[in-house]
Amino acid sequence: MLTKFLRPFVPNGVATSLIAYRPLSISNRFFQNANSKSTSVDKSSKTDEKSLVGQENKKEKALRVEDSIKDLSSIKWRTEHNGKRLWPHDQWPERDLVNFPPYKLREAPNAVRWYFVPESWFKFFYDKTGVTGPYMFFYGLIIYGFSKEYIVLWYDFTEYLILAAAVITVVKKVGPMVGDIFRGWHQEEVDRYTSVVNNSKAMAGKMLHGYEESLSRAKNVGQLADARKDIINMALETAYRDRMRQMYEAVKRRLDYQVALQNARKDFERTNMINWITTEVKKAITAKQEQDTLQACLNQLRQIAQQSR
Amino acid sequence: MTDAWYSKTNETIIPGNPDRIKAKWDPLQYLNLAQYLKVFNEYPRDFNPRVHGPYCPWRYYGKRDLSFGDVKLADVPAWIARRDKTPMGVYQGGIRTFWKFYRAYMDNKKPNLIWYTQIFVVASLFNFIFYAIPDRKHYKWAKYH
Repeated sequence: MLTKFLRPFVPNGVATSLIAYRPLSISNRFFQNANSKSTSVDKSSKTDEKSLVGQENKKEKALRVEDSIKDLSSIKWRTEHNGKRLWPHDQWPERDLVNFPPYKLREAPNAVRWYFVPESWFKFFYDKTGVTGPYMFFYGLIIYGFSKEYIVLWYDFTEYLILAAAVITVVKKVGPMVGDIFRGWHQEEVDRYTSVVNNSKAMAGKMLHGYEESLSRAKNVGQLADARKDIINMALETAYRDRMRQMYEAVKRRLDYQVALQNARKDFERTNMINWITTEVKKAITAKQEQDTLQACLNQLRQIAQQSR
Repeated sequence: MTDAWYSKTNETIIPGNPDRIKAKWDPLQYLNLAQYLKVFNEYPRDFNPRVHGPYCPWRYYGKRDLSFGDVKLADVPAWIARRDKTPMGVYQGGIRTFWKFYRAYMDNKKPNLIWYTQIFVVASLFNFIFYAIPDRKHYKWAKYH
């Protein structure tokens, strides 16, 4: 038990003779180092020199499983058969799978009538006697037994009748339940062995699912980064356009000011000029000029009146 | 820890582990009865694993012949003459019958007690015919039937 816990601390280079551990499998064969091999070879050579003749023969007597595991070259594979090349996985071309199919565990036992008569007997007699053949045979046997007094009707016959009825009733009612219970116990024991592998498969499947999810997430991280980049670019453009607008408005404000200034100047000049001109003209109009213009207008009106008639 | 004289760990016992303590799985194996049963413990002559695959004890590996249900009544003596009536042949036939029975009723995923019922019925019939009828001859109601 102690050596069990020391096993992980034994590196390959350490002489195995120092730690007495029992290897778990033949894979330990591949971790034997040169030291132990040389020591074992020396020991065997010493014993061979001193040993008797009979011991050498004993060593070469029979190949055991351990010897074949040590020396895999002793396995002989056929490479050719009937001119065709044979591969290591296909060494049995003469195998007759049609007449001698491989072994398969059956699902259910053979069918049976009355708990002891196989169905094959009924099928065998169907051609000759029909469906009721075996039934008539057994009823006939019973009647023959009564008639020839092989079955003696003594006072214990009632007990046997009732026993048969009771047994048949109990078996018909309780049989399937008992069978299911036993089968359940057996299936539990089998599941204790098979659940190991099935659980490992399920765990592996779950882990693979998780790995697939993390891979997809890793792929989506690129999209997230691109989205963030797009957002930042959009914000930059927004700021750029905002500042462009500010610039435009500032320049426009200044230009509008200049335009308004000129318009105001021109407007003032025009109004001032108009007012000055009208006041001056009105001042310059004398009474005589007023009379003269009135007469002229009247004469024009008389001419128009004459023409329009 | 449990490598005592009365208890060993699995690694030390597992047959096939080349560095194990030499121990057998069942105490009865130390009797080594197989050396005396070599005559019964061999494959039939016609069995060839290259052709037939793994050995199935319920199969007959000789020349194919009709089964008893298919043979006609006139050919029955000839059919019996063809059978192997040596003790070894009889023994092998008995072994094959047992394995056929085993495979029919016990070697499946949903076994039941029909095999027990059949053996019970046959034993009851044997007992009835050879022991019960003679015991009840004293209680017959009539002498002549």
